[in-house]
Amino acid sequence: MAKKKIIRNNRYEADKLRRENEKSVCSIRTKTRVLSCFSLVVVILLLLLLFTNWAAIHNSADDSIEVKFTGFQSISAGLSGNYKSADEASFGNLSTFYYFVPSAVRTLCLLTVVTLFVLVVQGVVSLFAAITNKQGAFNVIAILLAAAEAGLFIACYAVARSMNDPMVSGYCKGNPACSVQSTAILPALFAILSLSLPVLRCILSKKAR
Amino acid sequence: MKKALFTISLCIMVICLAACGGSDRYDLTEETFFYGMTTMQLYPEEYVGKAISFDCFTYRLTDVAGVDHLCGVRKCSAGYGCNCGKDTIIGFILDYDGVIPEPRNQSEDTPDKSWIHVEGSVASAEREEIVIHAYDAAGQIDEGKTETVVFYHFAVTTLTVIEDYSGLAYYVTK
Repeated sequence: MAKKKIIRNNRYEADKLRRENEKSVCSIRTKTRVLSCFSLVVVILLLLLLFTNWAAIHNSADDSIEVKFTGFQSISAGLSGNYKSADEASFGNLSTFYYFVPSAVRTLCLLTVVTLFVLVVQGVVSLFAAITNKQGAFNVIAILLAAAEAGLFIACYAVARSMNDPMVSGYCKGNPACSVQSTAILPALFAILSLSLPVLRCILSKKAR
Repeated sequence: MKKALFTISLCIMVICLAACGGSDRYDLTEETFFYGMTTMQLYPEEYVGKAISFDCFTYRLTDVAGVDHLCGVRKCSAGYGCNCGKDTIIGFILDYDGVIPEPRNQSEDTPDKSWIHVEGSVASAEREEIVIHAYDAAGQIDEGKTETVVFYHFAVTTLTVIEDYSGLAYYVTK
């Protein structure tokens, strides 16, 4: 009788433990899915930040922007190979920059195109991770892609800033009030922060295992 | 899932299509005049033979030898070649078989000028360097000093006189 009671208690304990374990795994899986969704939101945010000024000449004398182009406009030029267009809607003032610093503009456009490609891949990976909630390889890929994005955005910023001296001496004719500014640093910071999402997913999925 | 992938692919396609859309016709408006004209001055070879139209006022540029060049221009101050805090003009030397209206108040700060609408194309990418007498700080011609201005030729196919120029700015900025 007592032996039967002990067996029943043990079974109850095992069931309870299994239920708690399942509950905990379920909660972790919900968290990883939410994190995958966050990753997708971050990718969309990074894509939106491509609409900001990739390179712009700021004139501090009257606090105005002289000429500028956005990330998407440099993608337009990078994909079409058209760096001399007067079409401001598609290419911004890229042709003015190209006149003074052609190699830097070409490099910046190429880097931005590669960044867009990495962002799209990251978006697809995050989408798959959110839908299937399969972690493992997705997390490793997501970490690599987020690191690549951060590196590419920083490179974009560095190339944009490197245009400063030739643009100030060429376009601004040495006007000290002029400087080349770039908002590419913003997505770079976001990309660095977004690295934490796949890392967190990786830790959680290991816990779930 | 399929819908999401389709949307992403569509977005990429739209970006690519928007990027590859080139034009052989440039109708400069009030919004696009300054940058369009600036780009044409930077890369004239890209616009030779392309259909271009714009509104401008006539301006007679006389070089130090007394040779006249009749141009279609607007006054400007900012941007490439114009950003030294000094006013200048941006436009083309007009090559036209017909009659180009005589310039009126060409250097005065007034919109009351001889306005025309021209259609045609950049005649050649060859620079025409015109040596003119420089202006002093007071805006008067300084006979002792000269400066060189660069212009390109515009082959005009049609020229129309603009009677109502109330919506046109003689002074353009970015």
